[in-house]
Amino acid sequence: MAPSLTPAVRAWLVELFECCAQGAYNVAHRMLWNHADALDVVQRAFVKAMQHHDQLRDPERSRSWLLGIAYREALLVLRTRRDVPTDPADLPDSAQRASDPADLLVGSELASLLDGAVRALPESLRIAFVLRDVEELPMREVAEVLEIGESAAKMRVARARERLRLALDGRV
Amino acid sequence: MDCSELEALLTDFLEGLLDPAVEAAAVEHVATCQRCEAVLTGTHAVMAAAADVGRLPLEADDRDRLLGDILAVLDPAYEGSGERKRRAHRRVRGDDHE
Repeated sequence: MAPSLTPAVRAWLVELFECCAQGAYNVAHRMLWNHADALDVVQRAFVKAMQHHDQLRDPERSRSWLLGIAYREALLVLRTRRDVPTDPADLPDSAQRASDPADLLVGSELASLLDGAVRALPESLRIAFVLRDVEELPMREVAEVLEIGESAAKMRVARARERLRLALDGRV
Repeated sequence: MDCSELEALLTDFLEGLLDPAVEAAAVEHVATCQRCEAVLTGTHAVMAAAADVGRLPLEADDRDRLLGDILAVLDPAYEGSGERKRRAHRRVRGDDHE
């Protein structure tokens, strides 16, 4: 049986969870379009992160490191699937995202528009966009998560933004 | 600077990575080119929308359950129930299809 976590390690895990669980879930959900599968991926990502925490070279980059693990776990799930469900019912109610009632209508309409356009992106562009513009990782760390060069990451983000701009033209 | 040059530099422009002189030339071009101004404004709007509403929220109940399940897998001393620990281990192995 594995030894119990020391208080320090447990505190580190909780801190990592507070910092990164939302982002890891977002990446997994944007890849899998399924709430339960995304939760499973996040759990496996944190367990793997703890089991391999000695591989984290730079604590300043723990967020991109964790998101990279979640990305690769989600890829494994995708490879076991033939079809990726695209049922809109899997998406949380976009209206829940606007906390200010005055912004509720605008926020939900905007979220719905953006969701549709992001769904239509090819996966490689979609995840680059999510990492850079939603999770706001530096471009260098987007490249690290995707295990590609920084110029390739920049190109993917640029193409995603361009497609979304055309898809949402005049509506955002 | 012309439209094609700006297009090639657009991402670096948006990321604030251009040399000051090149950035000034880009700003000058955008000020005189309706097409590039529209591209820049539209791209800014996409980026702002992504930051504002692009995140699919992880609800508080799910967060709490996830953290409990992670601790149940990693920490033998975790005070969760036996069933919780079994379920968490199944999810990590990928054979929980509830």
